[in-house]
Amino acid sequence: MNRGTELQQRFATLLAQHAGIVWRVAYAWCRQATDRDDLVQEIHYQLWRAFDRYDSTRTFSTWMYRIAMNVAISNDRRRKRSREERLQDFPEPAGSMPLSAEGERIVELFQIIDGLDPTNRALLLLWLENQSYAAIAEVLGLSETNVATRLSRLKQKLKTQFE
Amino acid sequence: MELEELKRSWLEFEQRIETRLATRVSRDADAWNHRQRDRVRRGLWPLFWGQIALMAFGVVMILMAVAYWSANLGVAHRMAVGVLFHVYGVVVIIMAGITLGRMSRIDYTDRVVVIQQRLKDLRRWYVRCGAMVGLPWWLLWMPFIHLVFDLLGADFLGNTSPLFLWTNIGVGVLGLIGTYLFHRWLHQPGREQIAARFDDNAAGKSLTRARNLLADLESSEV
Repeated sequence: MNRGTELQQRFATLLAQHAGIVWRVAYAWCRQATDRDDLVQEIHYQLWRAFDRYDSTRTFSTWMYRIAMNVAISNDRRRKRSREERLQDFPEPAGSMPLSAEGERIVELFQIIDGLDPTNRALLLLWLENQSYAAIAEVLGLSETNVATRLSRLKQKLKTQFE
Repeated sequence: MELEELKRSWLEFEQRIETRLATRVSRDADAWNHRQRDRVRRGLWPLFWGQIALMAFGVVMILMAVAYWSANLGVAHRMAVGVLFHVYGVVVIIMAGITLGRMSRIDYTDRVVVIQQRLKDLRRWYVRCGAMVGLPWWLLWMPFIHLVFDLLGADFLGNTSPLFLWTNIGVGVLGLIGTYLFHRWLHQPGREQIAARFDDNAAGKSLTRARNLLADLESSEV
């Protein structure tokens, strides 16, 4: 097997293992299915372009988050989104209209995500994904202290919003 | 909504995404499986048309043979040649018919191992059939040329020397013996690879490709 094929196979395996990350990032940034599919495709493409520079001693998921977030943020800057369109297409199981209680809560969660600026959105997403401060810092290119401060502010803001 | 509730909702969302991805993977696998089976089915079309052509060849052979023996009712050796090719034509048609019948019995929606077994049987039959239809031509070509020339008004055997005739009979017999010995040599232990290559050639591209496609399908189902 040549190096190219080996690299492709390794990439495909890692991508399959962590496919959920790409989709969750895409859902956090796009509501319309076509936009989301485009974003997923763009993330896959950028991941593949960067893959030969991936340092396998580091965590793959962290590396994946960093690229996925960067692509999502740049993509978001390029396009004007309508907040309404984001509420139309949640991954509710087929035939389950009206929304279940869980579905309602997910819609509410995405309304909160939608109201955030790109950095805070990325921050909240990584916190929701239970990433460590160190991993969040690495993904967003911030210091751990900065992450801690920003997260604390964000949580405070959300708490105020809930009251 | 509380912060912890946000996390619970996100977890619920994560589970939905995973379910959706799993469904998508399984749907892709089903589509691939379906395409692969379709490729096996479509890949056997050349074999189907080959059998139709063989049947047409058998019909032509029968027509020529009937024309020949009915025009030579009083001449024993000519009648024998005519009847020989009449029988040969019938055998060719029957064999091609059996091959088509075996092909039509393959259910491409069945389990892969069942399709594989049916194809294996078809392949074995087809190779044997090819030998039965093809090998007699080591000797049959002379009476056949004689029959064709005779129908065209020329006497082929009458214009050849006995030496030519017997030499070619000898070559034909040696060819048959040689083919048999080669076949035995080929299937001795230790020659599996070369035997498999010869078998693949004898079975033709359609059946070999179908076997390989099914092997891919089988390995993906494990």
